[in-house]
Amino acid sequence: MGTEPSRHDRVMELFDQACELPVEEQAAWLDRHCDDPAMRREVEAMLRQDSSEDPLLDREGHGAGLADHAAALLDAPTRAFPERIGDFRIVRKVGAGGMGIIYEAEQESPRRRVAIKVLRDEFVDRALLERFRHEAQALGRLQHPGIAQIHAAELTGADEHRRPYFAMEFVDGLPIDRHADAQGLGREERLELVARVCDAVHHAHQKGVIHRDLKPGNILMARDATTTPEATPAPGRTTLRTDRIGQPKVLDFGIARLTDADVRSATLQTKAGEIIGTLAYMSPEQVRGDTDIDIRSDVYALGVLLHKLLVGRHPLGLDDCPLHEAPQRIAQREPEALGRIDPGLRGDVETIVLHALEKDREQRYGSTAALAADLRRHLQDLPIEARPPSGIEQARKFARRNRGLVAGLVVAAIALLVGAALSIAFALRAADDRDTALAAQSAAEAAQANAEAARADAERARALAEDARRDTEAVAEFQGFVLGQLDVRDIGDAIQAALGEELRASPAFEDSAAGRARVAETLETVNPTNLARRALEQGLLAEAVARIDQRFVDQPLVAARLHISFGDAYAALVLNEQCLAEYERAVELRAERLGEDHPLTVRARSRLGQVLVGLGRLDDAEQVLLEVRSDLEAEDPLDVGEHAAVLHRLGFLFAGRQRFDEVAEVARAAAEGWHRIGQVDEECEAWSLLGQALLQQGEFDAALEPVTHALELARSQQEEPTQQVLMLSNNLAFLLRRTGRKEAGARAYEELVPQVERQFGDDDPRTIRTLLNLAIALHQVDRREDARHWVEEAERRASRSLPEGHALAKEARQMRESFGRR
Amino acid sequence: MASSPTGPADPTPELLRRLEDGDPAAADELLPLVYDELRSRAAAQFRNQPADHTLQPTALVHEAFAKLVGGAAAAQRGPDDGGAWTGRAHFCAVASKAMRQILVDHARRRRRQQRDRDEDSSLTAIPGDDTQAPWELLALDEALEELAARSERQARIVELKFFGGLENGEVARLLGLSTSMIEKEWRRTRAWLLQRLRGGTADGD
Repeated sequence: MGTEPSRHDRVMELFDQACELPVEEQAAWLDRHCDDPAMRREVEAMLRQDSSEDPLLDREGHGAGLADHAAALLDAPTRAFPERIGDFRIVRKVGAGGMGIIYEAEQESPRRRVAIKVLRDEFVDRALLERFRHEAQALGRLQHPGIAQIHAAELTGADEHRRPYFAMEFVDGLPIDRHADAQGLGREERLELVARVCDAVHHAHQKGVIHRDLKPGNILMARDATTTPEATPAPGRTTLRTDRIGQPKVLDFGIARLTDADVRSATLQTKAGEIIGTLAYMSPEQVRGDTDIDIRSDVYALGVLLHKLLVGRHPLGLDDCPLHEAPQRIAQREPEALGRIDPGLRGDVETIVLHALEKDREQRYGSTAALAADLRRHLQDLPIEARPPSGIEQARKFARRNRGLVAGLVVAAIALLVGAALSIAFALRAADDRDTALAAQSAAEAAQANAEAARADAERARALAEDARRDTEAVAEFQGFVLGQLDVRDIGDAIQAALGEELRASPAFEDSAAGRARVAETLETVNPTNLARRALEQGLLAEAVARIDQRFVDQPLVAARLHISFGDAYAALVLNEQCLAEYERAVELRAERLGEDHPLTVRARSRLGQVLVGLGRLDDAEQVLLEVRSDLEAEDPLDVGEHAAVLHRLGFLFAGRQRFDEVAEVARAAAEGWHRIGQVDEECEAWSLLGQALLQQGEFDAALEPVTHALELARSQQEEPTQQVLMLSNNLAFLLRRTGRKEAGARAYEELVPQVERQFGDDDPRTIRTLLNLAIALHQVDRREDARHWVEEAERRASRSLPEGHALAKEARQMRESFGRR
Repeated sequence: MASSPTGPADPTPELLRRLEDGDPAAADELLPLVYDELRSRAAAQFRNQPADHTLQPTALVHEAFAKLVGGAAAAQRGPDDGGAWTGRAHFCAVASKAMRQILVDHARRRRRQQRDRDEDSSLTAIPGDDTQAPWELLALDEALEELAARSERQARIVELKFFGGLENGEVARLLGLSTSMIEKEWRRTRAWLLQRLRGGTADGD
């Protein structure tokens, strides 16, 4: 009840805006506009209900008189729309785009069907308003059969809620990809179809308008598309059955900017880092937030479109990739070569698509006209202008894609590990078993030889990569990737398995069943995780680390990145000292080259602070983390996770120092950060930490929310209740009881008991403790009989399983007696 | 609820006139009359119908209006007659409050009876047309209380529409807002209520 009105108002505003968006865009929108998780949950719950039906609230009325009015009462308004906007009579609501609501409408003179796009809401911010005006200006210049024509750009009504709107050509049709499927268009027809989109987009480019948001939803195929394009430019007219293909109409130059010297456009840069449009079709430079986007971003988007139309999936696998990974993929991952998916697409088509999808726009087609021209050359069996990547280029890409390299290094790593593991096994082995010794030795030698060969392979591949000067950064990236792949446990297990294989394959080994058993036993005694950790440290990392600085002496930033990667690897191996050294070096190199405050330096310092916590150097850690916390740009999407990690680490640090009020502050922010990037495990931990801190401070009311939340998240992660779930459930039950929600507390304990019994067994002290808690809770809600039952049960279990005089047994007895008295 | 219902020399038209003239005390005086009238009609409905009947608040309100104000007077005036409209609207504003109270009382009684019979079957909901409502009337009442603390206006709109049977235009005129504003508020409020009614809260209880 104590909620102040402004919060409610804010919830309503967020809902108003989000509910006009397509469902799939709502989450991303909320990411940008709402960083209060509780508020966000409320809005999300409302959005779910917005589209649901309710038999009572949405009921049609009955009877006569007043009841007649009830017919229109409850349901209709959610679909309401204005009767008229300007000269246009509204027929129906068609949908909601990124910026506005779209209606189908009719104009009387000239009589025609139009689409009206009204800017979303009266309290939309000024930047959006500006953008809308720009859109009007830009669109007004476009006249092409492939572009939805704009008829008017005005303000609605005369009241206080004036909103800008467009009236544009109404295109009744399917998105381009669905059209192609529905029509069963063949490969060549699809190529021509994209070429026509290129023509239309090229027209806009010539008028200084970049689309920046080309995607199938914005490219519709008019249903009555049998009237095909007289206006399609002549070049490259082919013998295809063009009537079937249809005329694409590009809509919604929604985020178009002017590329000419319009002064105002210069002041209208998209906010740094703001992600506009649809990620999947965005070029690397758009994702980076570059401000000088040009027509080659549209070329890229059409490359993606081509790829999707030809093989039905995204070239970078963005169809099913977590949102937070998408930017990195767009920036770094090489597109899937079409020929690999469909051998029939090898050659020209593959080359054309890859050329449009080049990460570096300098390498792309310079215009959509050039792309269209190549598509049509291919259709006419003329040589295309795009060149497949050269030998060097391919080697460069090979290195960048690093599949081979990864394979090489992983083989090398495993081989090294097998060798190392064997020598350890030897040391442990009983010396008198000669057969086994021989077998193991030969296996070790073989492994050693493998390792040499693999290392040589890897070395060659690495040399290749290093020769490509421009890709050193990518190599560093890759190193990080390889190191990131190393899971010590997995490797340890792999070593054990590999050893077993090697030994079983050895002929000498066959003869000695006893020896086999012996080695198997010996291997059992080895802790594979430690084995892997040690082997990796000595066999791979130490040597590589030692060479970073000398090898990349001219490229300190590459060196810094490698130090970070190796630091991460050490951190994963819990080799904190070594990790610290790597991070320190990275910080040093970056600070020298980029300055202390550069985001990259800050990120390195962030890791440094985190590992200091692990090392127990809490004073140093606190200092570093607090600095980093203020330096990180929490709003930068790339840094959300980093920021959350820093706060989370600070939370642990403060908790360790009993500074619970400070824990509360950082843990909440950490949880919210994790939530934004969908790190459920971490988010759960952070809420749990917050709950603990509040509980420690006796702030039971405040602790309820985070504990409840952590519990929900923990449960959502695991079918079977984990210890964490039980701990949280217990805390929750306690909190409910202590905050006056006694009924709920008692219920929670009742639910908890069977879970605890399953996890720990009936007679475990923790189970008995839970029974006593339950008894207290029941007693407090006047369920005396039940309370007595459970306290007796607890006493019985304590007496049969705990040592004489155990505190729990005493407690149970006392409790029973006090229950009896009252 | 002091006054007893309705003789032929009924005070209602007079009260309505005073209400239109902006006399707030008139609403207070009118409420018990409307409440009693509505309750007796509702009770009659409850008696005469099988257990899971549908209660139709808007129909009840309509009938109560006809009786209290006088069917002839209401019928004589057309829908465009401003006097008739404001009279009815004001009446409905009062009636919607009364209606809510009656239904909530009814639900509470049902729940008590149910408890006495120690049955675990569905409680308190006003049965929907033929489907079980997914939420309970008492929950709606509570949610409305909570809503009123956050936005008096939104709670009022629900009361007028849901319990009083007013349509958006009427609600708009009564509250002095635009119809589009009411539509917007309703969409928000509906979603907020449903998430509260169906979703529960994060606060444990």
